[in-house]
Amino acid sequence: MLLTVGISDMKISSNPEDVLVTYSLGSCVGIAIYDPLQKIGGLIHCMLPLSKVDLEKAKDVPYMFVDTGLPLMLQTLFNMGADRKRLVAKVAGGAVLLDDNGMFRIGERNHIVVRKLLWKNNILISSEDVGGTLARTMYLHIIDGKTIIKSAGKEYEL
Amino acid sequence: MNSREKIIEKIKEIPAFPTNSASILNKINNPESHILDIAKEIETDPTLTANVLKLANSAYFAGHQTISTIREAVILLGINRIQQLIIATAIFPTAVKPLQGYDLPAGELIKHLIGTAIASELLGKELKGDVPPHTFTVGLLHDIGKIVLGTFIEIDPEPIIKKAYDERLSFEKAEKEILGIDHSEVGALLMQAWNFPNVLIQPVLYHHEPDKAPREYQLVTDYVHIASNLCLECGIGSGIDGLNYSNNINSIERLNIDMRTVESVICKLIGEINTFMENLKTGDIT
Repeated sequence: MLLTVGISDMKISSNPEDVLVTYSLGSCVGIAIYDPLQKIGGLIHCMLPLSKVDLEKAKDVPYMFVDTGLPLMLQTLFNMGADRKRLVAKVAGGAVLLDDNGMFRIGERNHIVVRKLLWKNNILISSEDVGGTLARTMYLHIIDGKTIIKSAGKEYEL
Repeated sequence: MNSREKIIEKIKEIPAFPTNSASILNKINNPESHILDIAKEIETDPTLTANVLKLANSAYFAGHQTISTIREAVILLGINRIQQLIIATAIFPTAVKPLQGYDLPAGELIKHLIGTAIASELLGKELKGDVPPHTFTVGLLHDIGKIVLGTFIEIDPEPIIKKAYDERLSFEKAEKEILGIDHSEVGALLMQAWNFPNVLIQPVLYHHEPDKAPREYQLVTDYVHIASNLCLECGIGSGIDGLNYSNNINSIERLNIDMRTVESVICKLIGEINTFMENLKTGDIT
């Protein structure tokens, strides 16, 4: 089944028939994490890097922020039997405006916090497609962990 | 005829803005009209009444109140909100359709228009600034030119995209180079054909070049310029043009926006859009 991960949302599946998808990643960042042995994977769509901007919101919608959402996704994967040593992480999104005049850089900052947090958790990013001015859609196939990006009419494996 | 002239010619063939809505909008903009007379006129049109009430009852406008008549809506929400609701209901059926030329699936453009309208107001609130009453409406209308280019003309986006990426041009500049006109100007021309007032047309025309907006319309233009870009960053209605637009540094300075403001607005944005859309399904507004 195709399971949609909304904006500020996360889904995990261990059903080999499932494909997780998140649409229109702009500056937001999508992180797919997969355990190839257990065949369990999760996909998260975070809008902002750090929850300190609105701690109340972070309680209600932890997946809105990388620093609250990503650890929660990892913990859920571990609880479901995923092994940290086997985890394969792929990252997409973090686009920036053509010229945002150095003011907001949400995409760049999202990407930095993802890298930091995964590094701290001893998880290597196996591949990523980040930055630029294109919006992206990201798919994670639970059966084999294949991660597909669709962007501007093109489709490729990450 | 070059493509600019062809496009301008085509604008004339686009169906008129619903006449009833247009006449009511004119009355709303006429200071001599009495609001209860306007309410009466809306009530003579059952479809418009149903649509306006459906939108008026979204939590974004009504909060926890229930609004059951146009009279109540006018009194509780104020005439500005009614103007916004009439325009929203008028553009909804067209703006909800897929937009081939920009590779936007059904429902995405309307989400971008509503998102931009809401983000403009949120920005104003966050900055504790003055939000002119037309800001929301301009947000709803700012990309209406994309409907013309993407649906009625079905532009081929390939050469525009190629130009934009090869030369690091923002999308509207590439449109202008390839087509001789960009979606902002097309939108403004369409609104002119619909006899919309200048307070709405000028900010739409300059929403990618806010420095050129006449002074009296600059604040609205700045809000909508930044709000539209914020929505694109959040993936709200970004099509094949993606994030290929620029933030104007002078708008940022005029509004005095910092990173924290932007992030606070983004935090609230999706929730607010959902409260606006919760009563609406595709085909709901006819």
